[in-house]
This record gives sequence, C-alpha cells and structure tokens, in this order.
Amino acid sequence: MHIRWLAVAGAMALATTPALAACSTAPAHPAGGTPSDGAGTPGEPAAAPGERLVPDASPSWSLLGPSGSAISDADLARIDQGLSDATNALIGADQDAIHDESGDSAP
Amino acid sequence: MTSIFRRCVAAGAVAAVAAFASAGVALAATTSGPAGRTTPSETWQHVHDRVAKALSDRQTTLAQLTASTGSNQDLTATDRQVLQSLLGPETQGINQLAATVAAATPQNTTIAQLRQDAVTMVDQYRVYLVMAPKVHLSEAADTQTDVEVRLSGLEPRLQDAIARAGHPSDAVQAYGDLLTQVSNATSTTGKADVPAVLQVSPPGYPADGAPLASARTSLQAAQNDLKSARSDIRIIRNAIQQGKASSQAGATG
Repeated sequence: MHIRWLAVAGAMALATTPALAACSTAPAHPAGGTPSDGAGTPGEPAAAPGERLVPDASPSWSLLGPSGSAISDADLARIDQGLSDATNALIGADQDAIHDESGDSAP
Repeated sequence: MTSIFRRCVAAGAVAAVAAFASAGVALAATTSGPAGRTTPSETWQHVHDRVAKALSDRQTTLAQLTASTGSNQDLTATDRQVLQSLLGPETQGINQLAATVAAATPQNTTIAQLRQDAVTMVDQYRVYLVMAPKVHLSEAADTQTDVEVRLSGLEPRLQDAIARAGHPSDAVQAYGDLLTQVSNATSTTGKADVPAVLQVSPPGYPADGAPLASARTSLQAAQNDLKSARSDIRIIRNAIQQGKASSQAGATG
C-alpha cells in the first residue's frame, strides 16, 4: 500500500518537474526587463548586446551601457515614438486645414 | 420690295444661326457624351457620381478617424469618449446620405436635390474641416502631454547622471535648456484648449472655428520645444559618454 502511494507521488513529482523548471527559468517579461529596473516594460528590449545590468542604489539607473549612457533606450524610444505620433497628428491637421470643400458642395 | 424681302430673309437666317450657335455653346458647357452630344441624363449622372464619390471619400476618412481614435493609446479616456460620441452620429449621417444618393435615379431625384445633398454633406458634417482636425488635434495634445510627463520623469535621472559624470559643461548647459524647454512645452500644450476644440460644431463652422487654429498654433510651438528637449538629452548623453571615455583614457595612459 505504501509502495503504491510512493509510486503515485513519484510520478506526480516527475510530471510537474519540467513545468516548475520552466517557470523558474522563464523571464518575468518575455522580451524585456522588469518595469522596476528601468530597463523597459513588457515586450520592450532590455539590455542591448554589450550592455550590462549592474547593482545600483537607484534602481531606475541600473542599466548602464558600456559607454556610460544613463537612460535606457526604451525610455528614449517611448519619447521618440510620442514625438513622431504628435508630429504626424499635426501633419494630419495641416492636411485637414488645406482641404477645399467648396467644390464638393457644388458638383 | 424684293430687296426688302431679301434683307428680311437674310436677317432671319442670321438670327436663326446665332440662336442655334448659342444653344450649342450652352450644351457644350455642360457634359458632353461619347458622341459629342449631351443629354439630360448624362448631366444628371455626372452630378450624381460626383456627390457619390465625395460621400465615399468622407466615409473612408471617417473610418480612418474612428480606427485611430480607438487605437491611439495616448488619448485620455475623456477625449476618446467625446470623439467617439461625435464620430458615431457623423458616420451614421454620412452613411445615410450616401445611401440616399446611391438609391437616387433620374426618375426620382432631380439635379437640384443632388446638389442639396452635396450642400448638406459639407455644411452639416464638415468631415475634413471640423471632424478630422478635432481628432488630429486631440491626439497631438494628448500625445504631447504624455511626452512631457515622460521627459519630466527623466529630469532627476539626468541630473544624477550629470553629477556622477563630474558635471561636464556641455551636459550642464543642455540640462538647463532641457528644463526650460520641457517647462515651456508643458505650459504651451496646456494652452491648446482641447475641450473647446471638441465643441466646434460643423454647422457653426467657420464662425466657431477659432479654437482649431489656436490649438494648432500652440501645439506646434510646444512640439518644437519638445524636439529641442529631445536634442538636449542627446547632448547630455554624448557629453557624459565623452567624459567617461576621456577619464578612462587618462587612467590607462
């Protein structure tokens, strides 16, 4: 009886081990750093090749490039994307403003 | 007597030719068919096709604006809600007008009615001159606000980095400019009165269109400041990198 229970427990342990191992090695965010380390949010690239994560008193500054850059590329990428979007929105507004509707009302 | 008769005949002939010629000019001024002749139905078709095309183009634009409003992650919840509440009825109205024009035939709709549909399409809905700017200006304002918050969030980090790099003069100067640019941008973007932009109504345009132009001017000025701030970050980063490189060279040399 005891042997049977031991066998069942052993089988369960074997079945769950790969899953546990996968959990322990899987990154918290598939393609990026954690939000708290300033290295990017989920889905964004963390350290670029050649960069390293170093301990720092200020977690948001923990990503230092080999040349000493102080801000993560993800931070700047978000700003650049925002500026690009805002620029395009204003270009759209400009195109709206030059539209001549007078011809449409008198076909 | 014969002479007088002849003159009368000649004058009548000239008048007839002139009348025919003027009629021909009038026909040519409208639409001419494949054989060079114009029929009333061809003119009707021409007007109909132009109105239908103009409505179709507006349907396309409204679909793009609706999609953009739904997917833009920088829009505030309030602005998104207001824009969607405006785009819905606008799209419905244009769709209804398009269906009416699509169902029109020379038998049930006159050219004058088609022209009235075109006037309604422009004056009542103003897809290009009111609705589209509302979306674009709201998106620009909300996106720039987001960028300003992000840049402000970087300021203490930049200050810390500059201090740790030994206060390179280029970096210090650029940081001072960055603070000014971000402050100016935040203030100027705030002057873009988005609620007023959203209240501009198609029937009231152009009399009530001033907020559109005003917001456009403010947002462009703020955007220039933000781009300058972004350049400042580039200068700071380079100055820090150069300082680090030169200190490393000094240590190894």
